[in-house]
Amino acid sequence: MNLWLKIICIACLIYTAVFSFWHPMAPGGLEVSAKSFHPGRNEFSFTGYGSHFLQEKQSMQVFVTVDSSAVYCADILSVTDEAHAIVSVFLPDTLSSNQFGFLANNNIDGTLLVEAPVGSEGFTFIEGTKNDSCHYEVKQEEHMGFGYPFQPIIIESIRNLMWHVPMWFTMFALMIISFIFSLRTLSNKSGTPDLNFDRKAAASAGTGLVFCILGLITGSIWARFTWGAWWTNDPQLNGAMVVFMVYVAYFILRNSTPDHDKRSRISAIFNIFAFALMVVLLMVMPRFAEGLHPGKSGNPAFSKYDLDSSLRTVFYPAVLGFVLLGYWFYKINEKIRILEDQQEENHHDEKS
Amino acid sequence: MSVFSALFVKEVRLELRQKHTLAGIFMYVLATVFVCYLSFEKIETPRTWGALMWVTGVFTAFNAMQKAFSSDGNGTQLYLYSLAHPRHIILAKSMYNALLVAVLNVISLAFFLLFFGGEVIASADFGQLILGLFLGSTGLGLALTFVASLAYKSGTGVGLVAILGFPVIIPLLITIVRHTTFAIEGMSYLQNSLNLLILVVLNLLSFVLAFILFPYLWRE
Amino acid sequence: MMKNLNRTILTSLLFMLSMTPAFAQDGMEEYFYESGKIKVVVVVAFVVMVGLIIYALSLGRRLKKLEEKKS
Repeated sequence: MNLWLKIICIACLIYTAVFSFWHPMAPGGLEVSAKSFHPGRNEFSFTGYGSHFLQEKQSMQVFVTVDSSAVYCADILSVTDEAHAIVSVFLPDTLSSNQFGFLANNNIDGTLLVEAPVGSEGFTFIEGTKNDSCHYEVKQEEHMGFGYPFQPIIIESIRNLMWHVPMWFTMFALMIISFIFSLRTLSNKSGTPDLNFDRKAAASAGTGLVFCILGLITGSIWARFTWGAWWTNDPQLNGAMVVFMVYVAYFILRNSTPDHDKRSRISAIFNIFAFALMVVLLMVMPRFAEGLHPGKSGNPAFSKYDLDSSLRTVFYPAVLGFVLLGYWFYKINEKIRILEDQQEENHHDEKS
Repeated sequence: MSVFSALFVKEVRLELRQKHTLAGIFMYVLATVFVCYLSFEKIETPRTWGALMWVTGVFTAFNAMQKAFSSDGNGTQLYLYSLAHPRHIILAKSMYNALLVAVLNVISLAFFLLFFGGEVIASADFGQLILGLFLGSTGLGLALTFVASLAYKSGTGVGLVAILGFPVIIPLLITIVRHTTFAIEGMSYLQNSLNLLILVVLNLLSFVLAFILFPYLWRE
Repeated sequence: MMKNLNRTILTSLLFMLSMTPAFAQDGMEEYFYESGKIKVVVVVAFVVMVGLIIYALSLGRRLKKLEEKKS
C-alpha cells in the first residue's frame, strides 16, 4: 500500500479515536419526575443533560405543552444544579388531550425537549382547547454551536456511530473488492481461472469477515444498552448474521477443495452468489421490513439528524480511516497467501 | 428446447426408476410431520403453523437435493457434458428439482392437515397459501440445486450442501414463513404483496445466477 | 510478536475481569447507564481496537514465519 495512504489511514484513525470522545454532547432534556397530573398546581422536576440551568437561571423558562398545540407556563421554584430545576405548573380543568410534552428554555442551551408519558386524572378533554396566557419562543443555541446531537435513550452512546458503523462500511468495501476479483477469476480469457485473482478475492473476503465479526460484537453491545437485549429481531441484525454465515461457508468451501484450479472456480462462483445475497440482505430487505435501526419506522434514532454536521465531521474520516485500514490488512493478507502458495509449490517441486 | 425437455424427461425417468429414493424422501416427510405432531400435539397460531411447515419444507428440500447431482454417475456426467450445453443441464435440473420440492411440500401440507386438523387454517386464503407454497418450494429447489452443484464439484460429498445451503436459504425462509403466516391469517393479496415480491425476486435471483454461473462450474 | 500478542490478550482479559462485577446482572444496567451511557462507547471502542490489534498481530506473525521459512 502507498505510504501516503497509510499515513492518511493512521491520521484518520487517531482523529477518530480522539474526537469521537472529545466533542461535547449538545445539551438535551433527560426526564421529568412527574408521574400524574391533576387540575391545579403540579410540582415536578425537570432534568437536563449537559445543560446550564444554574448558570442561566435568569433566562430559564419551563413549559408544559398539551397535544403540542396548547402551552402552559411553569414557574421555576428552585434550580438545584446545572441539570435539575424544580418547577410547578398550573393546569386548568379543561385540556385538549392528555398528550403532555415538556420544554425548557434558556439562553445557553436553547430549547430542550422531553417527551415522557405522564398520567392524568380529573380533567375533562375538549379537543382544540388553547391557552392564550402563555407564550413561548424557541431559543436558538448560542454557545453550544458544536456538539453531537442529543438523542433520548441513546445519549452519549451516539458516539458509537464512529466505531460500529465504519465496520460495516469496511466490510462492504472489502466484499466488493472480493466480488470484483471473483468475477475476474472466472472471466479469464484462456479458460483456466486466474489464481492470482482468486487469492485477492479470498484475502479481501477474509479481512472483511474480521470486520463483520467486530461489527456484530459491537452492534450487540450497543443493542443491549439501547434496545435492551443482546440480540433483537431486527432485519439488519439478522441479515448481518446471515452474511457472516455465508462468508464462513465460503471459507469452508475453499478449505474443503484441495485442487487449486477447481477451488478457485468453485469459490469464485459461490462468492458471487454470496455477494448478491449480501446486497439483498443488507441493502434491500431492511428497507421493506420493520426494524429498530435508523431510517425505519418506530425507532427513536438518528432519522432527524441523519446528516448532522457535527456527526459528519468525525463520521466521514472514521469511515475513510477504517476502510483504508481494511485495505491495508487485505494487502498483507494477500501477501501471506502468495507466500503460502509459493512455499506449497516449492514443497511439491522438492517431492517430485 | 428439445434438449431441455429430453433432459427434463431423463430426470423424471431416473427418479421413477430409483423408487427407493423417492420412497425414502416420502418417508422422511411423513416422519418429520409426525414428529412435529408428537412434539406439538396441537398448533394454535398461524405463525407456528407457518414456521413448522417451512422448517419441514426446508429439511425435506435438503434431503431431496443431496442427490441432485450425485445420482448421475461420472460416466453420465461426461456423456451429458459432451451432448448438451451446461445451461440446458442446469435448466432441466433446476426445473425438475423445483417441481419435486413443490410436490413434496404439497404432500407435507396434506400430512399437516391430516395430523393437526384444519382449524388453524380454516380462515386461510387458500389461493395465496398454495401460491406461497409453490414459490417457496421453487425458491428452495433452485437455490439448493445450485448449491448442490457446487458441493458436488468440490468433491467433498453431501455434507457440504447443508453448510453452504443453510445461510443461502435463510432470507427465503424468513420471507416465506411471513407470507404463509399472513396467508393463513386471511390477509389480502395487497397486504401480502411485499412478501410475494421478495419471494419472486429471490427466485429470480437464484435462477439467473445459476443460469449465468453454471457453465463456468461445469467446465473441467 | 508472539509476546506482544500474548500481552494484548492478557490485558484485554484483565480488563474484562475488572468489569465482571459490572456484568453481574443486577448492577450491569446501572453501571452502564450512568453518565449518559458513555461506558458503552468505551467498551465498543475497546472491542474494536483490541480486535483489530489482535488481527494485525496475527497477520504479522504469519507473515514473519513465512518470510523466515523462505530465506
